[in-house]
Amino acid sequence: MAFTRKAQLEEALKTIGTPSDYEGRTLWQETKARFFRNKAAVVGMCFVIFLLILSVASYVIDLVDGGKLYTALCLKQDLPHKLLAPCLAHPFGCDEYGRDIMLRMFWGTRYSISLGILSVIIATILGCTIGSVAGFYGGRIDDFLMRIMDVMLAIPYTLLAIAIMSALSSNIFNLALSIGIPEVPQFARIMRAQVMTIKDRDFVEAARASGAGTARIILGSIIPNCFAPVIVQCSLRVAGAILGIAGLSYIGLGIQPPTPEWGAMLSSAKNYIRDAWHVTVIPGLAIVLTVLALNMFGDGVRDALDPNMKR
Amino acid sequence: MSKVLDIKNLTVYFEMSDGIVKAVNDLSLSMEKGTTLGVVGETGAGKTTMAKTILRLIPMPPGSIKSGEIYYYDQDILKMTDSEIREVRGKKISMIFQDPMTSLNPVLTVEDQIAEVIELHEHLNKAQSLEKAREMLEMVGIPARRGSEYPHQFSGGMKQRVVIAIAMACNPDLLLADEPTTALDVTIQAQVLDMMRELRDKQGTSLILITHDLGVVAQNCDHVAIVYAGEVVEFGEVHEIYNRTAHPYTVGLLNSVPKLNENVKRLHPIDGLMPDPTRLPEGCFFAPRCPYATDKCQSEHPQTVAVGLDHSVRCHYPGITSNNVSNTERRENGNE
Amino acid sequence: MSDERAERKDQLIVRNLKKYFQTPSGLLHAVDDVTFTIKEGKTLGVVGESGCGKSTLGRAILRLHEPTSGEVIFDGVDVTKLSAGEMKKMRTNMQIIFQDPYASLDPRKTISEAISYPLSVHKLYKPRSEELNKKVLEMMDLVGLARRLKNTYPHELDGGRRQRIGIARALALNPKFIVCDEPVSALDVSIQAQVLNLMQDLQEQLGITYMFITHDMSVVKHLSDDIVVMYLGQMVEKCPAERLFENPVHPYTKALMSAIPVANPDYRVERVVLKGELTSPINPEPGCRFAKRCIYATDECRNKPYELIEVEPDHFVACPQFAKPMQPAES
Repeated sequence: MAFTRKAQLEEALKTIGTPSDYEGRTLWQETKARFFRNKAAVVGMCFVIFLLILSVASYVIDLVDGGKLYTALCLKQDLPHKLLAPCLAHPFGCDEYGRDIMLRMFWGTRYSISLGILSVIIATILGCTIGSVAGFYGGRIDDFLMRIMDVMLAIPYTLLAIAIMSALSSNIFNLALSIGIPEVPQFARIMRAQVMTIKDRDFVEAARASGAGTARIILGSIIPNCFAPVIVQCSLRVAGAILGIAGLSYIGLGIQPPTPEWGAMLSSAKNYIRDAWHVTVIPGLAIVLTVLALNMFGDGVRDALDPNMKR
Repeated sequence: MSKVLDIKNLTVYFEMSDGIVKAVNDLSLSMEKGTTLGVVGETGAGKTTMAKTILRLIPMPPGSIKSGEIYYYDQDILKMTDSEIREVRGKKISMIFQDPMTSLNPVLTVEDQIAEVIELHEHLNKAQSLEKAREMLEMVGIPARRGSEYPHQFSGGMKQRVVIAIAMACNPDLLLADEPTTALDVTIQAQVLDMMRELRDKQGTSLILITHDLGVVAQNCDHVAIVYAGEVVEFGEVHEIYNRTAHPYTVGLLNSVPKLNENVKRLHPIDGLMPDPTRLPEGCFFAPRCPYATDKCQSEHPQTVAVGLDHSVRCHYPGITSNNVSNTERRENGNE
Repeated sequence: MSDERAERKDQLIVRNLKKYFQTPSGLLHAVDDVTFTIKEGKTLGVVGESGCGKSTLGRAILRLHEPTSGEVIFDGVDVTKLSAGEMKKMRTNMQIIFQDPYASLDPRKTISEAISYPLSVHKLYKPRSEELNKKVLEMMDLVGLARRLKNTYPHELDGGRRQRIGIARALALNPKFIVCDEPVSALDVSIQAQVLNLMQDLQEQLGITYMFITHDMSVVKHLSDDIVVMYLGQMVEKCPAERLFENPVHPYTKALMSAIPVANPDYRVERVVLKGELTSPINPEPGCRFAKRCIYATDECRNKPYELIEVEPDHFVACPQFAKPMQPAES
């Protein structure tokens, strides 16, 4: 018996079938339509776009004026305003050095967003390559690659990130690497499972019967059909990456103060938690909202893609 | 003899985002106790929706029953309360679904699954239910000692027997079988149908057999209802339907099937496809595909008329297909 | 009748074809020592139930599964011995139509992309050229697909249309031989008839040789010139189509035919009942593999090795009990 509305709809669909339109609507267009019907997902997406705009804006400003505004607004200390509570002049209040929190957070957005996206890109490329090879060839290659993945999974995420970060010099790319690499096994497993499912489908055999070689089959027929679950995983893991970066910065291994990364801001504010709630709560809230928005977006993407997978 | 089932003017719609799917349209049929009714139709005709509506298994949003009554003897199923319908399900009216591979719970043994139904309805304790469950297994041709095995250890045919055992465990009055043998090999299908016939003779169960296989219906049913686009287009006693076919769709179906005992050079399929249930035509639903369609057929929806003692058809020109020549005569005269 | 057969050349000769799979529980004899010949432009029906190896046989002939041993001689060339490059060229002659109209099409390709795929693999036309487009439309016309559907996707179409796409794709390379693996089993009755008629028409127009695999005896009778009945990887009976229905010899064939429900309520068939269920093709015992289910089985059946005996001209049966070799005087 189906309990959720979605499950009820699916059951109804199974009984009656669906009308067809012959409009040349691609799966992509139908997926988009389904996605936009999900209000929570659209809200999540809007928030993420908003953050992207903020990140791009801060880059552009720095490019234009060579970082002067940044230094003046975010780095310059203004001790008379130390721990000022939120007011009209400073809507988010000021931190322990008197710097405006709202402006610092504005400049800090790009670190969370770009690191989040970069680390997931690294994880996707590495993970999907490993997963496709393991899934397609099977046998000993599969065993070997998957055992390495198992070892990586056995190490707690944060520890692995810390280990990588400590071994490498501290720059943005390495930070993305240390957040991205622990994500590789998940992507590898998802991709491998998809490849193993798809490679036995008749249309792949049809491609072989047409005379296509292995490379053409993998790249042309199998991989394009494997992306859906990977895309879902990507959108969900960006949230995890942002938390990871915040976590690393919190313990002092990631972005160093005075750079206004949200996790670093949280970390330096923890001593003032009793005196000034706004210094910790507001960056913390920003992290929570971002992760929430990304999760809603990711759930929406999965729901939009799922029915197509079943069919 | 009383009617074990009487469906009157049933209409079921599904409200989907792309439109309203008119799954069942003013469908009526009835059957006497102890008989077998074959419900024939192709994919999308609405037969499964009809069967599930009898047991009120249709999810109510998005489905909705627009009109009609379903009488089980003298009670209207559609007006029963939730607890009343739960009493009916499994005990008085039972259903077998199409795919035996997914109908069974993979983590319970087969005897447990049969016993579950018995415990629920017959109010026996666990030990007694298991006892009865093993008896049912023997009745469907599975040795009782295999009762402690799990579904994945059985082949497709045996799984379907277990499903039948579960359905028959509480000795129901009426069994709804939705394509029970479609997924099975033909020799296994024959075995399973034989077994169902024996069980029915022993327990006096009435059976509704939903299928698209005209051969299965001819060999197993007393009456036949041909369903097209959610309505019954022809209904009658089995010999009437096969020998004095009155609806062009039924004729088309019979001509589409290559027959073992006849030598046909070319098949005569029906052109086109069943109409989209969100865009049903005005007038007769079959008119776009009917070789005999007239203007009246395109504009006016036909009513059901009687064409024989136990034979009715929904057509403006009943009997136009045979011109009073029966199908057997036509076959003997050479049907090319 | 036999003169006409003698005039046509042998298009496909399969000799002692075996395909075994290694499984954790043992050696699975999917196809075991199958031998037959199909003449040009004719249809061989291969009938059997699940597990008999008919699908594996079709794929082994096309080397989609590599045969374990045996020969597959197409137009005089042993296909099993070709190199990868030569095999690729050979594929333009031998194609396959699949059973499941839903799984056999790439969901990301439009109809025209699906049909033109084999053509682009073999680089027969310039990509996106006018000639390629014309060829695709020609194929669509040939199989009865409306031209306006050129840019639609499989998920928008019903089973019958999808199957036509599969047929068009198989025909695109102009093959001489097509393996049809249960092409109509997944379709509704009236659509089945449309597709069967189409396949018949194509054979008459283009002279294609078919190997038609199915479990549905009535369909196979309609379309085939010769029929092979398979059980657990072995051929148990082989003869011209009409003969099979007039004089079936093997008990399994008789059981199969009697199990098919006839669409005529006045026609009651004398059922040949089978005991039990299919046995396993893994590490099969010597002797007749059907013996466990056969009501006529004797000890001799269980011990005598597999042998196909010609019981009348062109009619071969592998039954230790009922296959009596024809007398040399008859012919």
